[in-house]
Amino acid sequence: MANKKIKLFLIVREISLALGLGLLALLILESLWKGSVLAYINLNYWLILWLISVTILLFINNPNHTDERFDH
Amino acid sequence: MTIKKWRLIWLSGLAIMLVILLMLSVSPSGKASYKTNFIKDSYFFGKLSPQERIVIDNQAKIVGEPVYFSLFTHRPFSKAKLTIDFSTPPDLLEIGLRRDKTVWNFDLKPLYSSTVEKLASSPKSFVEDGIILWQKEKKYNSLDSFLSHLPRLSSVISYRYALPNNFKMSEQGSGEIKNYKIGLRGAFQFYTYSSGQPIELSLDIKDRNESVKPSDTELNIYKGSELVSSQKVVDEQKQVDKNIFIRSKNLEPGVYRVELKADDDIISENLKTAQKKIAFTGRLWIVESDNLPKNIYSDSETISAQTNNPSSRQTVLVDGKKLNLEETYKQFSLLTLDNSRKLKEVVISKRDIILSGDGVWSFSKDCFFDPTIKTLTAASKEDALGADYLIASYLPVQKLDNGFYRASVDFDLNEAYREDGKYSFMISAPMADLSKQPLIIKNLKVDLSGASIKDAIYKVWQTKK
Repeated sequence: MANKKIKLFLIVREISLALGLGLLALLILESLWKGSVLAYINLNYWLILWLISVTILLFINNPNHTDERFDH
Repeated sequence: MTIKKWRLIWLSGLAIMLVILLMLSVSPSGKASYKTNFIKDSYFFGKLSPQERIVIDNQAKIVGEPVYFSLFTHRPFSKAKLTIDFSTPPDLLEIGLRRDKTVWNFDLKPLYSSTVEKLASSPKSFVEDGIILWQKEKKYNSLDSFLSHLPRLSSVISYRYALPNNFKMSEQGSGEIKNYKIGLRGAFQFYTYSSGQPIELSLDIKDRNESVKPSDTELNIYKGSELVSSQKVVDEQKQVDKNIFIRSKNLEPGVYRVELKADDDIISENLKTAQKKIAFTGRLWIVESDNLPKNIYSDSETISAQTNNPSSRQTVLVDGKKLNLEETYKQFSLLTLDNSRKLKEVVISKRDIILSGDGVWSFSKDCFFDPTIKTLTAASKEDALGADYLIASYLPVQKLDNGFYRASVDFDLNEAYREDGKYSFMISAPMADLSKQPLIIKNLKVDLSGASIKDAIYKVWQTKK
């Protein structure tokens, strides 16, 4: 069970990282060359997908994570 | 699979996507193609405007004219081929590309002309390299023989074809300096004649400063399309009264075109010149006048008038015939049914009126002369052309199986006006009542071509060498 949770966490983390980094790269490209991105990709949908992925990530507790508040 | 491998995969995917987007924007081959039906939103095509002349349901319908649209491109191109599919067109349908920033000056090309279509299929016509020559009586066997032995130009109608025009006058082009109170708003252009002396003009202008955007005013003198002399006044926003003075060098005898490039903030009050002949062409927006009613002279076959000012609604008299301006922001036209270029007297009773026609205009009979070659208008009919020859740069339309028509036109984009990456186009159907029979635009495809990456690199390398 713990193994499955770790896997899910890693997958969602990679997805949100890919979407976040992709969004940043696309925004930089669009600001450097107007229309190079927005002519082909609607970044609103991209942003929504990224927000969904990071929200899911927040709800999945990192199984490897130990909450430092209770360490003392 | 390890995390590292997954990361490598999506990072590579991201890199490939960025490269594809860059390639699409750069168009390394120098070619790009865009399509629209004006129903779905497109990043590349602006919506057809103004909105009140368009009805969009399951098709884009034009119910008033002219209409405008823009085309966004990531980079400049040098040529554009537009292919349009449209429903049964009116007698004359044209498309234009905007060429100037200050003045709404469009390079118009034909999409459809019922008159040229009928004449092109006549046995008295021949077509060479997209040029149609129609003759009332067969005299020429080729375009070359026509161009090398041109008939009297008054017997020729030229449609979107630049026929060499070596207009000459026996009369001297200039006399003593006179002050003409023209009272025109915005841009205008006129023809004048020089018998060899320099052209000297002094123009008093008033800047209304209503527009926030500063816009310079330019006075240019052209011989054909070649700029002979130019003078510019910078818009300093605070200054109201200005003067532009221009004096050309000694000129070859012939016709010259004087153009004032200005936005609608500018009112040209007085024109002081020794030029005897002054014939305005295109639009005349008369806002000031010493005396009313005012007489203006024109040889136009079709005379159009419009006012944007409710208190300037009036009846314009054209040789006694009435042209009622009942509404504002609407162009009204009067067909004189006279294509002989006879001089007509146009009487306006109120100022703030925009006049236009297919001929030229003068404020006095003495100043009038028409050095232009007659052109085809929406009113021209194949059986009453009033000319012995018609030369047209025209490709006959193709009738499609679905009942629509297809026409293609080429534009040179090098001299086109491009702002924020957008080229501006206009679709015009002069004199057509599109509210009764709307024009449906089924498809528009634009094929662009320009310098490839290879050409650009080679050019940079050549300049560095």
